[in-house]
Amino acid sequence: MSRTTSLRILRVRDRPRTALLTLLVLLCCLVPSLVTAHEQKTAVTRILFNDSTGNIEVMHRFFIHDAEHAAGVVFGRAQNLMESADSRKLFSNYVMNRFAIAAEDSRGETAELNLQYVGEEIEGQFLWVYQEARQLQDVNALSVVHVALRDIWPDQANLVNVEKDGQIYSLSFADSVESLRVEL
Amino acid sequence: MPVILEMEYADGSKEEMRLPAEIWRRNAKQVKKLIVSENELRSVAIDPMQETADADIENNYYPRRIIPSRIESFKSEGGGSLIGRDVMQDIKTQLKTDDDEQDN
Repeated sequence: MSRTTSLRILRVRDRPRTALLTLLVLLCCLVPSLVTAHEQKTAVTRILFNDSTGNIEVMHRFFIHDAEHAAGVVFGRAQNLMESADSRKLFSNYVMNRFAIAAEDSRGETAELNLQYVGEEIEGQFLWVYQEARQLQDVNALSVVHVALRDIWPDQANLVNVEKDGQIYSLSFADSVESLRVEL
Repeated sequence: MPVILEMEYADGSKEEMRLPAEIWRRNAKQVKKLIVSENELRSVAIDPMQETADADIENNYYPRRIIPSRIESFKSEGGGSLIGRDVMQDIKTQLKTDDDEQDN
């Protein structure tokens, strides 16, 4: 009789401890997901053949939230893209180093476009990075390399829209794709 | 969506007209509106301040005009944003302290 009561007491005493342990385990599971929470892991880039200026314009659009986390990972220190122009410059450089276009003419010769930095801008929840290059006379196809943020998160997906003569060609950088080609 | 019209007349005056969204009850594809005015009409713009969720603004002007691309408007004065000034950023304005007022 006395033995069963002591067992019962043990169980009752154990209950708060197990509850605490479960709570701890649950919290531990939550922590990593909290840190990486709300990342959209998508970015959109427009490549526009602008006939009125004769330039090829490249407009990258990133979620600031994603870009801030990524910049923190790349530069080893938390970055505040909203407040700091230097941080935005750093991030723009990072993007430009991971994006390239090669143009192919009708004879099949390819040449890499000399993309120049135009600027960056914050609009709402987005950070825009602008680049441009002189338009070539004869462009048959484009090869695009876009690994910005994709070298940090494997599930980052980048969409590239090429706009030429009113037509839109979409390239989707997902999974392990690093380079894509589109005929114009 | 309501139809927001901005009409510019030959004498340089502008008139704004806001047609409520109920106008689309007559026909969901296209609507007509007769505007009677004593002035000669120069140009019409639909939703000039981009208040509605219109994805394509290239067909919003009569006579047609070339809409500058994002980078073009970014390079132009006033930055790339439509209004050219983000009111929320004004919160960062440094306030005058008591010392400043004494100097004046």
